[in-house]
Parts: sequence; C-alpha cells; structure tokens
Amino acid sequence: MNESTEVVVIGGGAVGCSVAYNLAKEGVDVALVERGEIASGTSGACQGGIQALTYEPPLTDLVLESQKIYRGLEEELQYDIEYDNCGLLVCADREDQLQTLEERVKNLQKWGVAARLIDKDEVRKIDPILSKDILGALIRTEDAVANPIRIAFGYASAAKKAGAKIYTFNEVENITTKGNEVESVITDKRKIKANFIVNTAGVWSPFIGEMVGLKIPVTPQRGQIIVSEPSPRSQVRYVLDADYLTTAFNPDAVKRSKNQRIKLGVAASIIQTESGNWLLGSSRDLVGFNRKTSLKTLEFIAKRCIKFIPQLKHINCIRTYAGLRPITPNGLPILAKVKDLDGFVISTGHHGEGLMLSPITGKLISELITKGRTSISIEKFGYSRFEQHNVS
Amino acid sequence: MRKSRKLKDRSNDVLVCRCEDVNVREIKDAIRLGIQTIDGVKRLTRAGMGMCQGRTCRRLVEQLIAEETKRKIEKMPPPTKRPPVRPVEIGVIAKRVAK
Repeated sequence: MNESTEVVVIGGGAVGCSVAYNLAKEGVDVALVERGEIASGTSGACQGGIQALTYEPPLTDLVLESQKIYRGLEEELQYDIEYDNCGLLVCADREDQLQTLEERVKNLQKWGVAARLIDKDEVRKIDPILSKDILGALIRTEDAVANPIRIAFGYASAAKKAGAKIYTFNEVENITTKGNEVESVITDKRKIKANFIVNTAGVWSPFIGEMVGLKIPVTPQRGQIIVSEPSPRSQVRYVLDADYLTTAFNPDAVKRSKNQRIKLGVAASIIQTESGNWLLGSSRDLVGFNRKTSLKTLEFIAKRCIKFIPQLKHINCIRTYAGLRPITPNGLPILAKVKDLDGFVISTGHHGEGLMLSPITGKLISELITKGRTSISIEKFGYSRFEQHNVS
Repeated sequence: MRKSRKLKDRSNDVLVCRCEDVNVREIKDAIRLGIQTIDGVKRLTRAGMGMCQGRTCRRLVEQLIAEETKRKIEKMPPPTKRPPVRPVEIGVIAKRVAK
C-alpha cells in the first residue's frame, strides 16, 4: 500500500502518541507507525510518576510545563488517564540524605519549583503508614501519578479523533531519502511518503537512525518493578527514597559505591495506583534488551520499600516486570532536527522521564515542525554534539 | 459432552475476568480499537491483571480475540509470563536479602 502524508511518527509509546496528537491538533497530516501495539514497550512497563523534585535545569522548565499540561490533560484528551494529584514525598532515613534534601530544597526554590522540607513528626502526621525511621522528607503537593498505559492510549485516541492515522503492527523496515531530504517510511505493511519523519522509538531509536546513516547514542537501561495485590487506598500514594537522586542521576557515585544495593541501582520508588495496587521500584542496570526480572534486584527493592512503608511486607506480590529506559551519555534527551538530513527529527533518550515529559515533548516537536522554532529553548537537547560520531 | 456456544454469541455482560470485573463487551471494544494480543487486551481493559494473573480468563480472552479477528489461537503470541508463579508476601521476598 502506498500513501503520503506530511509527518510520519515512528513509535507508539507515550512520547510518539503525544507528538502525533499535538501535530494532528494543529491540522497537520500525520501517521504514526508502531511495530507492536500502543504502549507495548517502555510506556507499558514503567510506574507513572509525574514529579518535579528530582530534576535539575535544563530539564526543570520542561518538567514544570509538562505538569501544567497534565493538570488539564484528561479534559483535553477526553480520556481518563487516572491522574491523581496525590503529591510526592522524597524521604530520608539517614543523616547524609537529610543534608542532601536540605541542599536540594534551596536549589529547587532557585529553579522555581515549589517544595518544602518537613520533619519526622510532620511526616508521621501526614500518614502513619510511613515508617518511624524516616528522619524527614521533601514534599511537593503539585506532584502526581497517572496510568502510563492510559496516557499513551489517551494521546493515541485523541490523535485519531483529530485525524491522525495510527498503524499498529507496522514494523519499519527502511527509510528512503532523496538528496539530503527524507522521502518515505517503509513498513512491512505499507510505504508512506512524508516530508517529516520523527524518530520517537525510544530504546529502539538507534535502529531507526541507522536506516538513514545516523548514530543515535541511546542505550537501554533496565528498570524492575514489583506489583502488589490491591489494598485500600492510603493517604500517601507516591514516595521516593532520597537515594533515588543518586541512583537515577549520579552514575559516577553509583560506580564508586561499595553498597551492593546502590550498585544494582536500587532506590525505593513507591506508587499506589488508582486500582489500589502498589508498584514498587526502582532499579537501574545495563543488560542490553533483556526485559526479564532478576530475583536479587527484586529482593533489594522489596527490602528498601518496606523500610519506608513497613506494612507493605504483609501485602502479596502478584507480578514483577521490567522495562527498558532510553539513556544518553550526558543524561539529557535528544529533541532536534538533523542538520544534514532535512525532515528528520529526533525525539528520544528520555531516560526514566518519557512519561513525565511526553506532553511537553509532543508540543515542542510539533512547534519545531510547524513553526521551525519552539516556545521553550531546546538548544541543550541538540543532536549536533553527537554528529561527529556519524556512521559513514 | 455439551458443545459450548461461541463466546461472541453470549451476552455482552458475561464476566470474563473475575478478578478485575471485565466483561465480554469491554474486551470486544478493545479488539475493535485494533488490539490483537492478550497482553494488549490486558493493558487496555485490565483483564488478567488481577490476583490470579489471567489463570482464569486467559483462555476466554484468547478465544474472544481469535473469534473477533478471525485468527487461529495457535497463531497468536502468548502473553508474557512473569514471576512469581503464586502470590507471595513482599516481606518474604525482602527477607532473602543477606544481612
């Protein structure tokens, strides 16, 4: 089958679906191709935290803008994404973590992120399910959780309503170019001519890059999660370990650490979903495209989460899963046009923040394509810094 | 033995996933949106996400997808299997960590 459109988006995760929606909303002809089903990759294997406490500039502006969009997203998409403005507590159970949080709260104020530090007693007052071992916490009431799968499906269905074509079970086999311009995307089912091609394939985006001779420096990083049976909803539904600031954002400190748990990238990340199930993470390791769970890591996750919410130990685990996060060498996503290939746009490398950043990413990529400039600077997320490594 | 009726001929209100309370209609709706796999049905409807992890409803979901998409069950990808095989207390998992 041959057809043509203005933009082809490759990848049906939260980011790709948001890009397709934002373009369709502007009246742009857009087709999204996905080799499996919507949210069958990374977006279907994450936790759903929508928070601003662990990010630093240049990401902070994107995160705050994304949170703004999230607040009105159910209405905008006419879709229930199980958005729950429950707030986030980043908890410390050691003195050194408390110091880290004290520094962090000062910085957050500088960056324009509303947050405050609370002491042991106030933590327990908020919810007695929190452990007596917690010495203090950083709290932000604007933070929230949502259902990652429903976010991707919500964007996909709203995109469809706005005129986008969504082709699932369409695996991209090749991309053709003409001179220094993109020409078409060829899947196992159809050929689509396009003026723009957006690579939102996440951990698989390097394979798409290779088709046009570009090396995209994205590596899969595994994250494992324990799912519990549902239990009555508690007052506190989103808790992070202060160690998360280390395991998620300081790879050098992880490398240096002698602590076995930190070496496995384990820090507690606890979310209770709308259905009452607890999702317990987090871990980070590099094992290629392996999506299996490993018992050793799950043991550390369980132990660390119980440290913050002791009553979790009596709740049953019904499933475990692992997802792959697209990571880049400098820790930042790549949101950019490619200088030597007109029409090729890269939107990948979102690490564990793809869900958090999907609303703003969709908006910025749509602006980049329709207006040639963006409402928030994406200079820091450029691609040129990698271009010297192009495969010939 | 009584020959069973096709699932699609049954009432749309028949419960398929007892754990998560998902009926025939909801699963058919998901399939009509383009879902073709057991994992896909699960992601969209929660059928198979509950306590029994699809032990009760998997075959029924499979049959519904096969009937609605006119494909053979053998040709469909099996759902992803994940530990644990039976529910286990989170405290039991944590206890295995060496002190």
